Amino acid sequence: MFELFWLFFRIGLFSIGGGYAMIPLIQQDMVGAGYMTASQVTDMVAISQMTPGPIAVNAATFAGMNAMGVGGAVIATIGAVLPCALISVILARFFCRSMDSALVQSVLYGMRPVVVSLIAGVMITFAASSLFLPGGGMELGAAAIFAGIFTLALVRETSPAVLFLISALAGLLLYAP
Amino acid sequence: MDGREKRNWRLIGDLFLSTLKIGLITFGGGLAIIAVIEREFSCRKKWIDPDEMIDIIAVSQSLPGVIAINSSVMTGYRIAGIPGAVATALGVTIPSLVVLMIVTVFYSEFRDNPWVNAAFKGLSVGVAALLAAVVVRMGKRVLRDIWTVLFFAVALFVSLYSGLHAIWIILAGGVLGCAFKRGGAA
Repeated sequence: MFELFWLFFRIGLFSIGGGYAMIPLIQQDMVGAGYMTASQVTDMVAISQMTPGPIAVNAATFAGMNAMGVGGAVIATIGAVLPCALISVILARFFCRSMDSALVQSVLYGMRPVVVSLIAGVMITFAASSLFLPGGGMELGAAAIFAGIFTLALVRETSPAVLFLISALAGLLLYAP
Repeated sequence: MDGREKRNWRLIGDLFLSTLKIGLITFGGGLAIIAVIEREFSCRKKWIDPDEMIDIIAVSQSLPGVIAINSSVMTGYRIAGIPGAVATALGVTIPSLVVLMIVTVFYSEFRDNPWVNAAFKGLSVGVAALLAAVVVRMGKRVLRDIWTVLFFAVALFVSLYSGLHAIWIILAGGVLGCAFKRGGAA
C-alpha cells in the first residue's frame, strides 16, 4: 500500500505538463511493478479521457483500483494530488508577494499569449476530431452544436453545466443507435 | 492582498461546491477544466480578476504536477487562503475518484457502450465550443499589441505542429516577454 502511494507521489511530482505526460510514467512504473498489464494501460487511457475530471487523477484512480481495490484507488489518487497541491500553495504564497515586480510582469507579458494559444490548441484538436469527417467533409450536426454552444457561451454566458448537458443530449440525438 | 483576509466559511463552502460541480461535469482533461474554472470563477462569479486568472494559469502550467490541480489550488488559495486551496483540491479530485471507482468495475461495458460513445461525441463538440468562447474572451484581454499577437500565433503553430512540450513553449514565452517588454520600454 505504501509502495503504491510512493509510486504515485513520485508520478505526481515529476509529470510536468499534465495528464498526458503522466501516462507513460504510470505505464512504466505500474507495468514494471506488476500491478497492471499492458492492455489495462490502453483501457486506462481511453477511460480517463471519456470520464469527467483531470485525466491524471482519473488514470491514478483507475490504476489504484485495478491494483488494490477501493483502498488502492484512494491511496494512488491522494499520492498523485498531494505533491501538486503542496507545490501550488507554496508557489501561490510566493506569487502574491512578487506579483508587482517589473521582472515578473515582463515574464507574464510573454506567457499570457502562450496560455491562450495552448487553450486554442486543445480547442482545435477537439474540434478537428469531432467536426470533420475522416474523408475531409464536415459533420453538419456537430457543426450546428458547436455554433449553438459557442454563441450561448459567448453572448449569454450560460453556465458550463447547462452547455455540457445540451451537448451530451445533442450527441445522443445525433449519434445514438 | 493576502488571501487570509477573506477567509470566511460560506465562501469556502461555495468554492468547494462549485469546484465539485466543475470536476463532475468537465470532460477533456486539465486545460478544459481550467477554462471552465475561468468561466465560473472569473467571468460569472467575479471571485477573481480575469488578468490574475490568466497569470495563475500561466504559472501553474509551468509547474510540475497535474495542471488542473495546480491551477485550481492556486485559484482557491488566492480567493480564500489555505482553506480555499484545500476546498478546491478536494472539489476537483473527489468526483474523479468516485466516478472512476465505479467505471473501473464496469469498464469494458462502459467503453464499448454506443450510448456512452454518442454522448461523448456530443460532449467533445461542446467542450471545443466552450474553449473557443474562453479563447475569444481571454484573447481580447491579452492580445493588445503586435508582440502578443505574434507570440500567440507562433505558440499556437508550435503547439499544434511540433511535439514540443507545453512547458517549454510557456517558458520560451516568459523569456521572450522579458526581452521584448524591456526593449519596448527603453
